[in-house]
Amino acid sequence: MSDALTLVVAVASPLLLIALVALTPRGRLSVRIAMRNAFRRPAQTLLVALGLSLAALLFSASFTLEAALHQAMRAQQTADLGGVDAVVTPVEADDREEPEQPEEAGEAADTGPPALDSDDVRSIEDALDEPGTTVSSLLSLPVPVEHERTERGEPGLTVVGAANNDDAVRLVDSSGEPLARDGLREDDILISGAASRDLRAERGDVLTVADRTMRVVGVYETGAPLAPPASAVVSLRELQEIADLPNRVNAVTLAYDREVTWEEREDPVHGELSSLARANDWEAEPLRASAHESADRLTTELSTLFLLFSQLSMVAGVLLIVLVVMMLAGERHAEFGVLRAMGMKRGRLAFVLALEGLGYAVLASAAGTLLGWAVGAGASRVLSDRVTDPALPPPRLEFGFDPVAMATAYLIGVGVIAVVFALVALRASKVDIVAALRGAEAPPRSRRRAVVLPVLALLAGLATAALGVRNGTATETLTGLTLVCGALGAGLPRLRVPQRLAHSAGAVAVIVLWSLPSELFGETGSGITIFFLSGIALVGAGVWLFVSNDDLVQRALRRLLAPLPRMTSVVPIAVAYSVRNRLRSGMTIAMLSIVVLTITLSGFVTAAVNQIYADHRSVTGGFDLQASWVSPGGAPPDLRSVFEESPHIDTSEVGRIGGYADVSVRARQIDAEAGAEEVGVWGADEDYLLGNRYPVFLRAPGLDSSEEVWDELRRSPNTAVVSGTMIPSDSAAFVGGGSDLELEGVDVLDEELPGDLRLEVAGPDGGTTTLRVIGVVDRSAEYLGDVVTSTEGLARITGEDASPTHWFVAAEDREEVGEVALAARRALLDHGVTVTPLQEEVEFRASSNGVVQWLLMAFMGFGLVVGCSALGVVSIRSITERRNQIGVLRAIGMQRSGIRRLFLIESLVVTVSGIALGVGLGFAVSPGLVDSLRVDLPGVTYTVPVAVLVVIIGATLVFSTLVSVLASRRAGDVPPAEALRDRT
Amino acid sequence: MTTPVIHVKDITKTYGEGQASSSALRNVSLTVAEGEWVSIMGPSGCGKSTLLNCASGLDGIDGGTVLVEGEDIHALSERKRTVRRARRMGFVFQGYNLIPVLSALENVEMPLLLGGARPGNARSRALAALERVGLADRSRHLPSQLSGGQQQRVAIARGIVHDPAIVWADEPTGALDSASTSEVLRLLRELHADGLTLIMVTHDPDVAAYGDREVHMADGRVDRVEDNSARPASGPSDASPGV
Ligand SMILES: Nc1ncnc2c1ncn2[C@@H]1O[C@H](COP(=O)(O)OP(=O)(O)O)[C@@H](O)[C@H]1O
Ligand SMILES: [Mg+2]
Repeated sequence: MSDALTLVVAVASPLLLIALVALTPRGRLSVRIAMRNAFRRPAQTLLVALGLSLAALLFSASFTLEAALHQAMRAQQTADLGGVDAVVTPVEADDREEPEQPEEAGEAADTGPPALDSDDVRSIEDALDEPGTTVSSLLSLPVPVEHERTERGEPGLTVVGAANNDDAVRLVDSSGEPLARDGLREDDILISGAASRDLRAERGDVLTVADRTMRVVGVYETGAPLAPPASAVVSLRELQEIADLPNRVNAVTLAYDREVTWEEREDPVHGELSSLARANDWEAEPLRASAHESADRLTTELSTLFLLFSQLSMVAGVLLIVLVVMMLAGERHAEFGVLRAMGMKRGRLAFVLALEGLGYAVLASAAGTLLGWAVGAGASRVLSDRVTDPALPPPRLEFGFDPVAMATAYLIGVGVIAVVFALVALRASKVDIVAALRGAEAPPRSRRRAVVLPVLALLAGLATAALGVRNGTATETLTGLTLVCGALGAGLPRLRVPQRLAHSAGAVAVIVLWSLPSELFGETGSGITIFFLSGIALVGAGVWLFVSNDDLVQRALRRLLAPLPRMTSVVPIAVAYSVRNRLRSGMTIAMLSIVVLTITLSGFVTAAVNQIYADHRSVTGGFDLQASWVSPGGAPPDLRSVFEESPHIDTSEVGRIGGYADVSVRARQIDAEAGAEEVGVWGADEDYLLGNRYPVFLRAPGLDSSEEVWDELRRSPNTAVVSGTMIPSDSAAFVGGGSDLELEGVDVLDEELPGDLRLEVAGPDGGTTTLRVIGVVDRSAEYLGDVVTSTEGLARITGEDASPTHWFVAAEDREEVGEVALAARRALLDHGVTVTPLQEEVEFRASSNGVVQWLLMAFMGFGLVVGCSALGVVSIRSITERRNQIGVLRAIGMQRSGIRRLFLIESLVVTVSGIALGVGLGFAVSPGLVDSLRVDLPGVTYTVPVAVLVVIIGATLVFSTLVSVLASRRAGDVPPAEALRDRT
Repeated sequence: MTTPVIHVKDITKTYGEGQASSSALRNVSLTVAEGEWVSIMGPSGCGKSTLLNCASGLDGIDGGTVLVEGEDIHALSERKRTVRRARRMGFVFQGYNLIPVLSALENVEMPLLLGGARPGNARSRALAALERVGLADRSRHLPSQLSGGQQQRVAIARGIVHDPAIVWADEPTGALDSASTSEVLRLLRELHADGLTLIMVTHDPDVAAYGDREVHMADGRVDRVEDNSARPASGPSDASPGV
C-alpha cells in the first residue's frame, strides 16, 4: 500500500511541478511555446523521446535486475521450507538430516533420535504469542530405502511423516499440480523427483522402506518441508511405527499468518517460545527469517560486481541524455536567435527549454522505466531458473513489480533528464543572436571562464591528490592526479602552449596514470570502485585524445578509406562529419565504448572465475567423491576397512581418503565486538588434513606454506583453519555466501594473519573451548566447513568421540572416477553410507554460476543495444539536420547509393572507434580486475575470453551496422527537390 | 539560334492530392538553344523553382516531356538521370549550399569525382575552375571562412568545373548584396560569352535582363516571353542591378 503510494507520488510530483508553473501567466505562455515545439515536428519529438527513454530504460533495467536477483536469492534460500516459517526441534536431534549438506548432518544418536510428544506440542502451541499461526507436527528421519527391481538403494533417504491433513506439507508434481494426500494409506509412499531418479523408481513400484514394503503412489517435485531434494513422504503414523517412536514427532513447524518481513532476531520464536525451548532443551529456529537474511547477504555479494556494471551502464545512459538534449538545442539554435532578437530574456529562454525538458523527462522516464522493468523482469526470469543450489529444488518464481525500485529509477530518469536540460538550456540561452540568425557558428566564447574552470580543477585535483598521498589511498591520489592532468591539459593553451600538444599530453597522462598498477599510488582496497573510476577516466581520456586530434584522425581515416572502391567522393565528407562535431561524436564514442568496456570486463571476469570450476578438484580440495554416514543408529564405520573388506571395490583404485565429523555450534571471536553466531565446525581426521589440497592463502606468522598449516592443525588440537567466507570482502568474485560469523581485524589483502586471532567455541554442555585461527582457505573451497579443526580438537569441544561421519575420496586414476563411485556405493550400501560424485555437482554449480554471468552479460548486451539505438537516433538526427546538403549532393550527381555510403561510413567510423576504444581499455583494465579477484580466489588465472570478445565485437558491429544501414537508407531516400527547399 | 538543348513540352506538376492538391506547373513549354541564357521571372510561388527542378530532372513530372540534349530525361532510370546530372549539368543555388566540411577546392572537385574523374585530374581541373572565378588563393578555405559573394563564386565554379552542357541557377544572386551580385553576374556573363547554356531563375528584373530571353511566369504558366537579343548586345550596365 505504501509502496503504491510512493509510486503515485513519484510519478505525480514532476507533473505537479509542471502544472504549478502552468498556473502562472508567464508560465502559461512558456508551457504553450514548449507544447507547440513538441508538436510542431512529431517525428523529431518522438526521436528525442525515444533516445531519452532508452537512457531511462537503462536505469530501471539495472534496478529491476538487482531487485529480481534479490528475489531469486530469497526464493532459492526458502525453496526447501514449503509453507514453514519456523521450526521447533529437540536440540540433540538434528532432524534436518540432509546427507547432501555435510554441515547440517547431525551427531549420531545412540539411543535413537530425541523426539517430542503431544504434550510438548501442546505446550508449544500454548506458548505462541503470534495469532493465527498454523502449528504442524512432523517426523523426519533418514530411513534406508531399497528398490529391489533396479537394485538401487539409499541408506538414508529423508522420509517425512506427516498427518494426512497437515498443511505444512504441500506437495506439487512436476506439472505444477498439487498432489492429494487424503487417501494416503499405511503402505503408501510418495517420493520426490530426485529420489525417483536416484532409485529408478516410478509410480506403482514397490520399495523396501526399512523393514516394510511400500508402494509408490506418486512423485512430487516440491513441497516436502525441511527435506533435501531426494526425499519421501509417508503418513505420520506409519513413520512412527517404522522408527518405533509411537506418538512422537521431531519437528514442530510453524506457519505464520503474516508474511515474514522481520529480521531473524525479531522472529516470534524468539519471544515466549524461547524460554519454553530453553527450559526443554529444544531449539526454536526462525527458518524463513534467517533464509531471508542469508539471501540478502548473497545478493549483496553478487551485487558488487553487478553494481560496477550497472553504474557504467548508467553513465552511458546519462551520456545518451546529454547527447540527445544537445542535439535538440542545436536544432533550435536559429529559433533561439529569433526569440532573443524579439526581446525574450535569457532566463526566460532557458526556462522555456527547461520546461520542455521536464515534459520530456516525465514522458521518457515513464516509458523507459516501464520498458526497463519488462526487460529486467524478462532477463531475471531466465536468471531465476538458474541461480539455484544443486542441493535445492528449482524455485518457482514470480517476478513482481517493485514499486520502490521503479519509482527510484523513474525519479533518477526525470532528475537526470531535467538537470541536463536545464544546464543545456542555460548554455543554449547564451546564443549569439547575430550568429544564430545568420545560421553561422557562434564565435569562440569568452576566455575568462575558460581559465577559471581549469584553475579550479587544478586546485581541487592537487588537494585531492595530497589527501590521497597522506592517507595512502590510491583512489584519491589517482582521482586528484587525473584532475590535475585534465586541468593542465585544458588550461595550458591559455598560456600559449599549442592546444593540440596540451590536450593530447593531458589525455595521454591520464591514460598512463590509470594504466599503471594502482598499488603504486597507495592502498587500493579490495573494492571495485577503482575499476569504475578507471573505466570512466580511461574512456574520457581516450575520447579526449581522439577529438583533440580530430584533424590527424581525419587524415588517417581518409588515407585508410579512400582506396576503397567508389569512395573517393564520399570519404572526405563522411570522415569530416564523423569527427567534426567534437562533442557529439566524442560523446557517442564514449557511450559506446563504456558499454563495450563493461561487457568486455565482465567477459574477463567470467573467464577467470570459470577457470576455477573447470576442474572440480580445485574446489573440492582435490577429492572426487563425498560419502556420508546417514544411518540413525550405531557407530559410523571406518571407511578404509570397509573398503578393504568389501569384494565390491578394489582398494588400489582408491587414492586419498579423508574424513571428518561436524557439529553446528555457536562461536565468537575473542576480543571482537560482534557476538556469537552459529558456525559449522569440522573435526577432520589425519588423512583429511594430510590429503586435502586446499591452499591456505592467509597464514599465521611462522607458517610458510599450506602444508605447514595443515600439519600444524594436525598436531595442535587447539588450532583451527577457517573458510574464506568468514572474511569480509567486497571483491567482484561471484562465489558463495558469507558465513554468519565474520572475523574482525582480518582483511583479504593482508600478508598474514594476526598471531592472536582466536575463536571461542561453545560446546553443547555449555563449556567453551578456545581455538587459535592459523589459516584461511579461499572462498573457492566450496566443500569445507566454516571452522576446521582436528578430530581431537572437535572431541574437546563436544566432549564426545568425533570419529568421522563424512568422508572425501579421491580416485587413484582420475579417468575412473565413475567406476570408483559405483564400486564405493555398492561397498557402502549396507553400512548406511551414501556416496555422491562431486564432479557433477561442481559442474552444475559452475554452469549456474556461468549462467548468472552470461545473463549479466546479456543485460550488458542490452546496454549495447541501447548504445547502438542511440547511434541510430544520432544518425537520423544528422540526416534531418543535413537534408539540404543531401539535396545538393543529389542535385550535382551523387547517387542514392553514394548518400547511403556517406552516412554509413560516418556512423561506422564512430562505432568502430567506440568499439576499439572499449575493447582496448578492456585489455588495459582487466589484468587489475582479475588480480583483484585473486584476493578471494587465488586460483583465478588471467584468460582472454576470445569467444566472448568475438561475440561482443561481432554483435556490436552487426547491430550498429544494421542501425546505420537503416538510417542511411533513409538518407538515400530523401527526395532531392524537396530537400533543397528545406532550409534548416 | 542553333539546336535546342532543352525541350520542355507541356509539362504539368501537381503537389499533394485531392482537396489539398495545388498545381505548381500547368502545361509549361519552353525551348532553350545551346549557348542561350534564359531568365525565368515571376512572383514568389509562381512555380519558377518547380520548373527548374522538373526540367533538370531533380523532381518528377505529372505530364508532358522534357528532352535534354535530345533525351527524355524522365524516361531514364533514376540512376541514369543522376549520372546525367553529374556529367552534363551544373547547379547553382540561392543559399550557395556548399558542403561546410569541405574546402573550396574539395567542393569544386565534387562533381568531377561524382562523374568518375580520376582524383589527380579532378584536382587540377578544380583548381583551374577556382582560378576562373578568381578564388585560386582561397582553395583551402572552408565555406565558413568565405564571404557570401565568394561562396557563391565557389558554387559557380562547382557548377561549371565539369564543362556541363547546361547550368541551372535558382536565384543565384538572391542572397547577395549589390556588390557581390554584380560580381557574380559579371562572372556568369563571361562564362556565357564562352558558350555556357544557362537557365537562371530570378525575381529581380535587372538581373533577368542579363538573359537572352526572359520567360515570365504566373500561377504555374508561362505568361509571356521577352526576347532581349534584339537589344544591344551589351545588356544592362554593370552598375544597374538592384537588390
Ligand atoms: N514540395 C512541395 N509540396 C507542396 N507544395 C509545393 C512543394 N514545392 C512547391 N510547392 C508549391 O508549388 C508552388 C510553386 O513553388 P516554387 O516553384 O517554389 O515557387 P517559386 O520558386 O516561384 O517561388 C508554390 O505554391 C509552392 O507552395
Ligand atoms: Mg523558388
